[in-house]
Amino acid sequence: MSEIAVRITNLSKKFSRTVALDNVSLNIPARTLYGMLGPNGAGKTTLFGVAAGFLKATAGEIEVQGINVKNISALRGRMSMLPQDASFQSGIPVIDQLTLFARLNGFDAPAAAKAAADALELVGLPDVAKKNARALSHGMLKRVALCQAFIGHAEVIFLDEPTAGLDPDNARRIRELVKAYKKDRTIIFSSHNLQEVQQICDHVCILHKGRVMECGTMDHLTSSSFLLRVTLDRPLASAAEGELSAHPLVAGIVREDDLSFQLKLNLENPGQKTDAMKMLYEVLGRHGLFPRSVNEGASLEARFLEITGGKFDGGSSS
Amino acid sequence: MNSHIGLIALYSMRFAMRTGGGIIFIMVLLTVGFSIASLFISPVESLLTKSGVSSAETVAETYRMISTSDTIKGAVAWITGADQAQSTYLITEKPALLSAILLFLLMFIPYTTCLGAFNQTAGDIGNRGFRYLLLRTERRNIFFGRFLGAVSFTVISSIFTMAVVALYLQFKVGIYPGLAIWLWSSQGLLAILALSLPYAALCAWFSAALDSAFGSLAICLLVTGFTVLLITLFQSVGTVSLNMKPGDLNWLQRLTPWGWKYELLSGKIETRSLAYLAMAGFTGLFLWLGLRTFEKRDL
Repeated sequence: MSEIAVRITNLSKKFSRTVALDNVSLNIPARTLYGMLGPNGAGKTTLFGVAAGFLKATAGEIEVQGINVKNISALRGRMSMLPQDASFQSGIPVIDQLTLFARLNGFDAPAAAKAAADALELVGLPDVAKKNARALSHGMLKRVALCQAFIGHAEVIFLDEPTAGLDPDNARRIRELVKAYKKDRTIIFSSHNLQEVQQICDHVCILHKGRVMECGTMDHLTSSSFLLRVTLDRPLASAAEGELSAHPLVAGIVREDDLSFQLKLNLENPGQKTDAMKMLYEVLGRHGLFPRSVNEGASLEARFLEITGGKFDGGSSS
Repeated sequence: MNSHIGLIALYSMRFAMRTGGGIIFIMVLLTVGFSIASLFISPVESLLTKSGVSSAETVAETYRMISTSDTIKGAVAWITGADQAQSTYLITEKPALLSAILLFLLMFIPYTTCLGAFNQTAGDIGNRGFRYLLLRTERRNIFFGRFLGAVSFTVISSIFTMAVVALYLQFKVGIYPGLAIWLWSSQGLLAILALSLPYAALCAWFSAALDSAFGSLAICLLVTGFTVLLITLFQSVGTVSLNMKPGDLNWLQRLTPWGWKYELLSGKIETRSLAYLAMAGFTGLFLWLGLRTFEKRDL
């Protein structure tokens, strides 16, 4: 197997005058759980649509496992996808449609029926097999859509916002399923939930206005933008601020109000997080300051907003 | 045949049956077919029951005399645009009653085909119902699978209609020999199917170009109907304003499958073959245009 699972070269897509993808080039390493991030309209779904052959690229190419996606037959069964806005036929039982997909994947009739039933079992919905797609709730439909992506043994799976619109329990189940499936596959996962992406993905790419803004490992992306949000018992003395600013692990300090400030860190690796925390407590202690709370910034979110021009306004408690 | 095309055709037929669209189409085709048949069979049956004629042979002779009259021959020649020899072939050499039914059926087939084939792809393009298939098979397999599914409905309905009409003529009316009825019915069935193919292909093209099933239906019916109307109008205007003889602009009719339809029933093998070739040509052209559209567009 090639070490690059998905190779995107100079890909552009225009919808009349709107540029959805602008000369995107990207290599997705094999056997990674790759997060695809971007605000609404960034081009994530368009990118997935071109990869799946729903949309025709204006320019450029996508190769999956070394095969151009224009030749979808050669990829049959090796690539699958959970599209964001595809629909099932409303008059045919779910199991029949999944069986058709399995047959198109190359299974014979009995094996296809079994693969379809197994896929429904996998997402915990064996009871809906005979039901019409119209009779299913949004959450159930999402899980059925997800299970069609897991029919067979695809090497590359694209999941376009698999947890969008789901209740927390269903979203958790899907995240667990994706993590369980990660083993020997390449999964490309798009989501607006940055914490979710940070939690399960090992690589990430940020798209903005149809362009690739930054790509790399999760550690690489988050360590360069790690931050702490600190609230003190009294105002930060300028001497303490100077000492913190001068420290090599600190990229900058942003005061939020008299008692609160953000400490932006520049870490070479996530292991330095502890060093930074230790340094913060030591400096504050030397100046007689006591932190009432220290919140660890959702560093991916901070980096994402920095790139896309948004504003970070929170973090998780450490 | 590519197995994916067969699978997609089979599932599209199942889908059409389960959602009711297929059943409605079959009912429409059967209603049209039986209504036309009834239009011609009922007077003969009245003759049998009311005129006091005692035997079918006598009725057959009476009917033969009526149908071979100059008026009827003239009417057939006018409808088909054929010469006297072809009119004679249709009403004397072949069972005239069946010929009349076939001539009228051929007039309606383009429209009934549109009713059955308008939504080959448009609805699913609109609601993104092809996306799970596109991950697994080529676009051309979807396009041809859906076309095959639509044509299969026409084939099944047409076979059923012609079989019922032939059985009725043989056993209930009984004025023609059974063999003559079945041979002519088979040839008529082939003509019906040959004529329905280019119109199903035309629908495949429009359906691939549009995102709405209703829009596709409207365009298919409008193009099918208005083309005939426009060409006829152009012929009339041309004949009057350009001082041309009636028939000089008949070649315009040959630009559509409509203009070839009655030649599918011609007594001359070369004329008939040419008509079948024309139908194949139109089908190929429309399918090529449809496939090109379907291959290039976003789905």
